[in-house]
Parts: sequence; C-alpha cells; structure tokens
Amino acid sequence: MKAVYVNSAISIEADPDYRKYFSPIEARRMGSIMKKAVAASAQALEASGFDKTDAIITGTGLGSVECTEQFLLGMCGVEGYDMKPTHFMQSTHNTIGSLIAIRTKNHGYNCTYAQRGTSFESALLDGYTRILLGDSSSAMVGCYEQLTEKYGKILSLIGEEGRAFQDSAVSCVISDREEGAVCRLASVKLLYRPEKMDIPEDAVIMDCSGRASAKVFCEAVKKMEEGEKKIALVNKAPTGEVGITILEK
Amino acid sequence: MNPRIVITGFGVISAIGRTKDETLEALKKGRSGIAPVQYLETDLKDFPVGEVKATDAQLKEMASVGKDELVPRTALMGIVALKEAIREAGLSQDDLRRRTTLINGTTVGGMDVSEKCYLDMIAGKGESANAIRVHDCGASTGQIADAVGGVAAMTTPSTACSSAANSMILGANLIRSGQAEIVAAGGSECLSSFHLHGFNSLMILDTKQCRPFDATREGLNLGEGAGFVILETLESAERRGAEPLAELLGYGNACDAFHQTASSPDGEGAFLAMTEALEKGNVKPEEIDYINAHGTGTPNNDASESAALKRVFGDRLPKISSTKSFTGHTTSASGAIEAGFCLLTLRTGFIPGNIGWENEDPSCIIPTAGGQSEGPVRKILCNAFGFGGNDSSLLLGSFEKR
Repeated sequence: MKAVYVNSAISIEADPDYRKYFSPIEARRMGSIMKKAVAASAQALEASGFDKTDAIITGTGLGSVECTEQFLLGMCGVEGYDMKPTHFMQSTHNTIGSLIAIRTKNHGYNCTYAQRGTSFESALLDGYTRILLGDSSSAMVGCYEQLTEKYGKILSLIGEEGRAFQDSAVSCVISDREEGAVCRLASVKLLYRPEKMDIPEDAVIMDCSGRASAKVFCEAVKKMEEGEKKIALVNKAPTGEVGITILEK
Repeated sequence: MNPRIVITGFGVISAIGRTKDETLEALKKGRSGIAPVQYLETDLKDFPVGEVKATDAQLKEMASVGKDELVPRTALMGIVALKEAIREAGLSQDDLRRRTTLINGTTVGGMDVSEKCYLDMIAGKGESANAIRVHDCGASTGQIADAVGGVAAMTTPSTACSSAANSMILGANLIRSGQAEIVAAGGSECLSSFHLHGFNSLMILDTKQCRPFDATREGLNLGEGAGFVILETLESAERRGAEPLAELLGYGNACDAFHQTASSPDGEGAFLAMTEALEKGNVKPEEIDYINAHGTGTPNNDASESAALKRVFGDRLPKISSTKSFTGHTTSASGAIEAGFCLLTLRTGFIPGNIGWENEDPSCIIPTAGGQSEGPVRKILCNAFGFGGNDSSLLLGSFEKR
C-alpha cells in the first residue's frame, strides 16, 4: 500500500473576491456555499502545486441549506421564496463536488459524504483509501457547511447536537507525492459509539469537539508545517460518530 | 480484484415488493408498482409514483420501530432491507457491533418529516424543533445503525441517484485496504413532496408510466425503497461459514463533468464508469450477459446512456433492460435496489424485461423483453447515474470456486 501525504490545506474564513472565479451572472445564480467551495478548491490546488487531482471528494452534512430552504419555503407558500429549478438542483449535496468537476473539466472519481459531524472525515477516509490502494494518486478533499439564520435558529433549540454543522469552507489536496508535501496522513478512522479509541500515546491530541473538524485539520497541518511530529485529531460528535485522523512527519 | 469480495446477503424493498421473494415474483410477472399517489402527503397528484405499498405505521411494524418514535420513511425502509440482508448473511450482533461498517447512500434523508413541520420548527412551536435531529442524511444512517443494535462505523454517501452504488464502491475499497472486515452497503430513499416538486420543476416527470428507451418516452416516475448487500472477503465468509451468493468483480465511478442536471450527448461519464468497472474486474465486454441500465425514461438520460453503451460494446450489445418502469426511479437507493435485482438474476437466470417499451428510438439501444435465460447468467453490469454527472457502474458475477 502507498503512503499518503497532505500537500495543501486551505480554510476560507471571509468571502474572497469572487470576481476572480465567476462572472457576475454565474455568481448571482450560485448559492454562497458553492462560491466558497469553488474558491477554496482553487486555492488548495494552487497551494499544492498540482494542475488537477485524480479525485474530487466532498463532505457536507447539509449541502446548500440556503437553496434547500428557498425551495422548501416556496413549496410551503411563504412569500419571497419560490420553487426554482436552480434551487432544487443546488439543494442536492453532490452539486458542490460536481460543480468543481464541471469547472475544472475533471472526469475523475467524484463522491460526496453527508455524515453529520464526521462528513469531513468520511470524505478524507475515501480519498486516503483510494491513494493507499493506488486507485487515485491524488484527491481534492473538501468540507463545506453554511447555515441560514432560520436553520441555525432551529439547531440552537436542540442544543449540543446542532454544533455538527458549523460554518466551514475547507479544501485540501492529498496524494502519493512526497515532494513538496507538508506531512503524512498516517490514518483516518471512523467509529460509532466506540468502547475504546486507540489513540497513539506519542501524538499531540487536538480535540475537535464543538468545532468544525475540517478547520481543526487545517490548523493541525499548519502545526505540522511548523515542526510538530505527530498529531491526533479527535472528533467526537455528540450524535455518537467519532473521527480520528493522525498526521505524521 | 484481490482479495476477492463476495456478497453473502442482500435485502430489497421497493414498489414491487417488501422482500426478495415478492420482488422476484413481480419481475417475473411483469407487474409494475407504479400507480397514482396513495401514501405520500403532497399537493402534486399529477404524476404516478412507485411507492412502497405500506403506510409509515405499517413500515414501523415491519422494522420493529415503536409507533411513537420519530423515524423518517427513509430510515424505516432502510431498516427493513438491512435486516433482510443481515439475516441472509447470518451476521451476529457481535459481528455488526465490532466488525461491520454501515454505508448508507441517501439524499432525501428525513425530508418527508421536515417538509411537514419546517414552518413550525422555524416558529419554535412546541417540541417541533426535535424533528431537525432526523432531517439530515447522516441521521437516517444513524437510525438504521441503532435499529440493528449498532455498528462499528458508519457513513453516508450522497451523490443523488448514484449514492447507493457509491456505497458499494467505498465499502469494497475499505475491505480491500484492510480497514473494514464486513460492510453493509446500499442506500435508502423515501418519496417526499419536496423532490417530487423538484423533479417537476426540472420538467422531467412523465404523467404516464415511464418508458425507458422508448421513442415516445417523456420522463421518469419517482419511486422509493431501500437495498443493502453484505460485502466481505471470501476468506471472511469462509471463516464465518457464510455462503457466497455472488462476487463484486469490479466497479467504476467517473464524472460526466458536463452539466448539473443533464448528461453529455456522448455519455462520457457513463462510458468511463463502465470501462473502469470492466477493467477492474479484468472482464471483456463480450463476457457481459446482461446490463441493468440506469434508463430513467427521460429523453436525455436514455440517449446519453445508449451512446455510452454503444461506445463500450459496439455492435455486440448484451441484453439490456431498465427496471425503472417497475419501481419508478428510486433515486439514491436505485443502485442498491437494482443491484439486488441483478443478484436475483444471477441466482435464477431470470432477466427482467423493460416493461412499457414498444417503439424503437434510433438514438437508443433496443432493450430486452426479458425472460428465463437459455444459458447461465454469469456477469452483469449495473448502472447508476446521478445529477451532476456522478456516474457509477457495478460489475457483479455469480460466485465461482477457483
């Protein structure tokens, strides 16, 4: 089996200048999560030194809530909302990954995961596994979440579980290429209500609880760049899913 | 592929049956499950649908879920299909909890619940906000996992209509790389008023029973259901004393990268997915005995898929049929439900027909009328294509000792 490396990891916090990526007409038609995803993936690709990746893999627990809500409230007859086909189209989770593929003319492996707080780890596991097996030599792995005010309000009513879907726009490139890589992606594990977790004792633990794990992943990659030797990212979702990601020098 | 990945159990539920036996009987008799809306709460009654013939309450009983529990139909059907697969594979509680990864493809998730109370949730009315816990795709997978007593790990592919096929691809890769011992892979999707309206807004629904590959086809009918297969290495099956029912010989996933809701005229994504599946299984096109096509009944999909089939198989097309005129398009679950039909064909040699087809379309393949095959059926391709050009193809084979 091949070794897997992290070649870049980008987290977009504020809205970038979208004119770099879209015409004004395109930008108007597109939900904000789509725009952020296109920008993040372009930046991650640039930082990695790759022209394109073999695979595009996306994690998103809810997809575009904005478009889903537009269509849903339109269906419920709420004023100001309507059932436009673009809203429905963009309400499906895989619309983000396929948009990135369409814009970069990438016919390679393409998949999307929606597993609450471990959507990012699910996508990362898929990419990691493909590279281990030699089925893909590189993968763009992204995680994108964006809530609306309404959806956020509903989540706040149920407390802790709502935290699984915090805002994030993270994209990274992983591959079998050591040259120019930041660190090694040593393992990715998904567990469900585990009895034990087997975290290596020599690793620095970064706890993702209550935060978007994809963002913590970016911070961990930065720490590795700064000289850390081994980091275990531990993501315990309140709904029982656990993701454990190990980065090594 | 090495190691060999075998299927030791499967379960399906759709408009044509709640079990494999009922399903096979309907396929043999050419009995479609498509009918006017009966169970779904919706204002859109113009289009026939392929509903699982059971109320939520009846499904709860079948799934052994308490009648007051808040469980979306997606999860209920998933539980029924998964339990059938687990029974056949003979998996114990311990196998499930310690050694099994559940991979459940869905896109609609709990939308059938949310669409009834979203306004109440926003208004913060009573306990309504609790329904948000079961809204998302991953929540349905969690409920399915809990209903079978827990699993070691789980995740949820969501690539619209190819979700369940992609579950099997990830599952096979996790097994090949030694990261999972046993995988329950498939998908589950209920009808919702939301996506019925959605497909209507795209103007791709037929007001009559769909006619895949027919010159007069006008669109698809939506359906619902669930399907799961139990995947493991041959060695694992032998160790457990489980009988291999079939083998997952190969699989391909490619992106058409053409348009968000339309397929390219030359079917590039479908071509790449089928080619990859054949190459991975080291199987030549002429060895394929039957193809269960994606064949939705939309003018665009069927022409594009036909172009891709002709590119892969040339003039020597194997028997091909779409079973969507039986079940409707079961969207995220279709890859697993139709893979289930293929497993029934491998077991019995009965090839389902493409009911409703009458008129040849020069831009399409001519589907088979189906029936009992004269020779053995050994190798089958099963296609599932999703919005955004997320195209996948599975290569299934009868299990042969070697």
